Amino acid sequence: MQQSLGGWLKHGEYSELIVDYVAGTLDARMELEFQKHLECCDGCWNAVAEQRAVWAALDEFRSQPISPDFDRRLFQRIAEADNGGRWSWRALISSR
Amino acid sequence: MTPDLIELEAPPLGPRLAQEAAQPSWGARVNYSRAAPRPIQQVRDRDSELMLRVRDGDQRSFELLLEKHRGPMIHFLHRMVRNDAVAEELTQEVFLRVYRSRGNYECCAKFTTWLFRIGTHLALNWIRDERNEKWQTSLDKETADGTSRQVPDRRKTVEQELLYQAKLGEVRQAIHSLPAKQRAAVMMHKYEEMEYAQIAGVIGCSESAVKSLLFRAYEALRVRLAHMA
Repeated sequence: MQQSLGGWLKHGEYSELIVDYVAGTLDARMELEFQKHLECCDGCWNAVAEQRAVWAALDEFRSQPISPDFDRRLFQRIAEADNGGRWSWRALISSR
Repeated sequence: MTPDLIELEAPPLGPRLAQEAAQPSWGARVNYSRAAPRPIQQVRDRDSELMLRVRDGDQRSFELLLEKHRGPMIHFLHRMVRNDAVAEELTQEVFLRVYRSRGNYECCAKFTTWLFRIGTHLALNWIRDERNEKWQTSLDKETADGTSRQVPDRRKTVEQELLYQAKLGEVRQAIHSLPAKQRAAVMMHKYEEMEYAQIAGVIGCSESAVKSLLFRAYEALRVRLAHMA
């Protein structure tokens, strides 16, 4: 049975706020409400800790640098697609 | 402080949060800065203006859009397909399609919603494509014009690289255990900082469906990655 723990939302509704709370996108009123709930709910407390760990782990997943010839290859393809067009892609290809 | 952050007065803490706040590491993980409420999305954003100029034949505007969105798109696609070369090729295809579609461009959504819709569509197709292994092999050999692919220089010490790769491998594995749509939603939410409504616009579903996708995705990631805390 859902119960109200620490405030005016039902427990299931609090658990839906975990992602936004950790992402920092809750508005001030909801954040305060959620923090009151955290004081008395072990489930959400632990879930917040785990979500923070996920958030930090995802920060590690930074992607690779872009190949230095990325633009040249793109402009080459556009120039081929735009054969006879009025844009000067050829000049861009040689400048990259 | 970046322009989109506002400092808020810290709310009063309960004993549990106050105890955690007293720990030295707490400040690094929690602060009371948060993104200011984002303004209501205007259909005609700056990028859409640039795209309209591209439609009218302004090459420089295309270059500006490429400059701004090339990186985020490659990174998004890299996380989706887990292959550097494929991510770059798909990004090339995204911008090629942007260029080819310029004549029909209508400013009916935020530019990034349109751009990521193209990218997500290509990524989901690639993931579904049974022939991707063949494509991957051919990309490893050479580029279409016969020249060798230039590999980005990313020097790290061996030890740094090993540690990084171990952690990264685990994160990648966890992300790739997610169904493709959940994965796309997480990438847009976490890395592109898109709101639910915009993600819904990209994926083509309701906002509540996006919330549900993300809820399930993060729940699955918590099971797999919580030990990394």
